[in-house]
Amino acid sequence: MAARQQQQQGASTQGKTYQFKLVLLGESAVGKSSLVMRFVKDHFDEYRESTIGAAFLAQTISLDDNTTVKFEIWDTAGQERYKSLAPMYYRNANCAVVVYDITQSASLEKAKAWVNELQRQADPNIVIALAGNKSDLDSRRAVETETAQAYADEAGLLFFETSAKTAHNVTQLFTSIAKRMPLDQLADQSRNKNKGLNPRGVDLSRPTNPNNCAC
Amino acid sequence: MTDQQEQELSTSLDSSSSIGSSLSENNKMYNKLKRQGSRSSVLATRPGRSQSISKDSQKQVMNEDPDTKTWSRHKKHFFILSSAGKPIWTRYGDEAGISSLMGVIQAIISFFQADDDSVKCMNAGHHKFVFQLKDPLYLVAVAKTGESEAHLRDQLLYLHSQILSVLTSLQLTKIFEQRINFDLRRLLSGTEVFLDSLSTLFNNDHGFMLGALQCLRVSKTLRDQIGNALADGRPKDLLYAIIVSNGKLVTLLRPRKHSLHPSDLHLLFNMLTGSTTFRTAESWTPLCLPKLNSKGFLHAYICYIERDTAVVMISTNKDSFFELSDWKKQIVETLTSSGALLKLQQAADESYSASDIGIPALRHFIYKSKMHIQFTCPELEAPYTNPVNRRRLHRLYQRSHDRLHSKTRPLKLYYLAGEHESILGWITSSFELYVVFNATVPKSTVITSSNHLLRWIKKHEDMLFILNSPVF
Repeated sequence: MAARQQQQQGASTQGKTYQFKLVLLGESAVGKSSLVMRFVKDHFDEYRESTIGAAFLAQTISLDDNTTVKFEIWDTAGQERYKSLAPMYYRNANCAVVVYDITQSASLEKAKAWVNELQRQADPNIVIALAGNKSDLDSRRAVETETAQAYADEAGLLFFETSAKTAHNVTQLFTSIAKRMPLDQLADQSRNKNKGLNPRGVDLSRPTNPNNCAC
Repeated sequence: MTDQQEQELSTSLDSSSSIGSSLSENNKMYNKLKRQGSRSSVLATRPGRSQSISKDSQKQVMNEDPDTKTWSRHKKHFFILSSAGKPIWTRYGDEAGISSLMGVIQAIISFFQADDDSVKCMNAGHHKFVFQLKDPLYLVAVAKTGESEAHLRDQLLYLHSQILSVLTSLQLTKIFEQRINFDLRRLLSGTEVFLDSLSTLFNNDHGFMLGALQCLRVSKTLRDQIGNALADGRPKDLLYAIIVSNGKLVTLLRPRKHSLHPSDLHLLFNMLTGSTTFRTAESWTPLCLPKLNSKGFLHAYICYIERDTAVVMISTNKDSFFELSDWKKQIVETLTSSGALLKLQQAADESYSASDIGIPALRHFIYKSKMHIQFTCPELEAPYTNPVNRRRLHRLYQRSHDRLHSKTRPLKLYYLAGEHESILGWITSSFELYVVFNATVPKSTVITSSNHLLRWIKKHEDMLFILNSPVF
């Protein structure tokens, strides 16, 4: 369900792999899919079509010789009609990236609304990062870095200005999230918490796999 | 009347350019251009048709500057508006710029409604105006393509189904009951590409006119092998599992009692080819299949497993993503280890052409098996690789189809010897056949060669069609 700790049996590495569910939220056309594409495939499309529903991807990063973090990523569509589906994707998330577009001040307001919703409804331990995307378009900037930084500090969020186009800060964003995850505790604790948090029983998580389950 | 119409269009577009000065309108226009630009990039990757289509689309994109003349010069316009007269989608230009034109359309419709009548079709000069009233939506086609009212109306119904597949009829009705002035563009945003690509497909894919599906030509052994892989380990909430290559059906797993309507499958295939978004990840989306049930959502898992081959799984359970994803992995493993996936990609790359059949002077044909609701046609060869010739061929097929299906006087046989080619249309209780020959071929040869072709199709039936799809 939540963080699954996986002891790698291979002889070459004695490290641990931690698996986390990450959800991307934010207004449409702020660059959520482009950020994921840059992170997962190191690729950028100038003309990317809207995500339909949600897209699922995975990417692994190593924090040090002994620690690997695997992100299972739900990249959600930002359009209004998918709003009611969002809880299905964030309910079991360990971390979230809320994205806005630095050239559209309304998108920051939308991002704040998502942060509020996550802080109210998601796992209380969820790690949230705010990403001001399209930092390459500095000449059209509508949101000052300081403004967003001040908000992020106040709300207790990680904060980065990113550019999926130039790859600026993209790896840093995901690495910081991985580092912020309380790796050792999470594996045991969040399981029980998640159970209490799902009275409606609508979760989209993978059926527990006996081979890499932490219970 | 034609000039008057053009003037009306011009006025409405002139007014748009003043609105268009605000930044957000500029953004919208940019998005529309971008959308049509990216559509061309999608279609351009499809082999066989690539050249002609990408050229067409480039032309469209260039024409989309708010210059009034080029806008009204387009041969076929589609408009979707709410019954309150709000623009929802237009094939060319930006919706915000056509508000006053929508007002005119609404006025025409109301004029007839005042007498408890509804306007269906008007002819003005070379233009045909077709109205499809689907409360709370109005759909209108304005065309000088020579297409029949019936064909244009079918196309409007496909566009309507596309909107239902995003919203469901239930949601659509509810929205407008609550707010008659609702701007539906808000809820459709991101799916306009599918309306765009449908409009383009109407001019290239015979399946819409025929109400049938094209299958990929593969050997029976390979098709069975793939079908068996699907029949194995099916998750419990699964309704349909489909393998599709290049917009052609490979195999379909379905419940014994619920076959899939071709129209619903056309929408699915259009989704796959109309947007690149599905190529980069596993996707999971609510989706309504209007012919199956226009009121509710099903859930679609979409994933490309080869360059041109995708798996689509339709489930009744919104939580079954991971189950389906695991099942897909199993299917891919099976198909990879047996080499079937590789063979499938080869089959998708090498379709057949009319010259392979060895009938002299045969240029192209379409054969629809009525029983299987499937059709087959060869890839286009010269002279139809040229866009002008290709369009003429397509219109010729439409014209023959229209004559055979005319409501007032349907024909069983239709023969037309034209300047560029001759066509025979032939309809029986089990098939529809349209065969195109060189213009110089005498009528007697057309008949014998068509019979020859029918024998060839019969012989290769199990490769060209899905004769028995796996059921559960």
